[in-house]
Amino acid sequence: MIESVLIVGLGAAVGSLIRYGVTNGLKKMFSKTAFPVATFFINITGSFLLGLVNGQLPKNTFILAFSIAVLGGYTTFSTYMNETVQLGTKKWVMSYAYYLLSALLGILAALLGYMI
Amino acid sequence: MRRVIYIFLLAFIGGLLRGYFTLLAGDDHFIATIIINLIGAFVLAFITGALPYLIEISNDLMTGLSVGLVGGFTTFSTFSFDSINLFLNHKIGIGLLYVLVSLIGGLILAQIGTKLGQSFENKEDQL
Repeated sequence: MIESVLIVGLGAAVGSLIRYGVTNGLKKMFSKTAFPVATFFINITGSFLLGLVNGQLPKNTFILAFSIAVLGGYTTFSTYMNETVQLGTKKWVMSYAYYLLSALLGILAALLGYMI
Repeated sequence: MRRVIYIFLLAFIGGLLRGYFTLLAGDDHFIATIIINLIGAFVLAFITGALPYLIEISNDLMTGLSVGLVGGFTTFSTFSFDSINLFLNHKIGIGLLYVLVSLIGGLILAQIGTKLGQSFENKEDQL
């Protein structure tokens, strides 16, 4: 029981650092666009990978639990919501596109990863 | 380097909290994920707005708290995967409810957190 909580903690720490690195890299590459490319990319790839590991890796193993934990920390719901709010005041079309496309493509990506 | 250490340690704590709530919820772990994501959406907005006006806080620690603590606490991948799991298990109603409560609740709470956070900024202006 305690082990499973510790795995989530450790995975979240590793995943969050990866998110920080990917965010910095993508923000430099897409510095001219207001669309939150980094979080969008992170959440969709993370959803795809979570579907993939759940479909491919054997159940009840450390490697599966740790992969789920890393992907949980890699992706973020809080930043997704806050970027939607921040865009909302000035760029409402982009805000709604980001809001709806993230959810739609995230869920489809998880399904695709799981079905492969 | 300090920033990286803050993110790592605070995300570890955020993950522990998520793991603990998820464990408590047992078979209904998707309820834990909804609550975690809604709390996180509010807290991120609130601390980003209010904290710099409440205490002296370095940029490194602020990044650690937002990217690490709250970012590690909330999760998008579990939201996506829980949704398809519910749909694939023919729990269409619960699945739709899960998606709608997460998305609409998250947006409303981020909005409230932003407004509350901004109220601290405005107080500072009046002094």
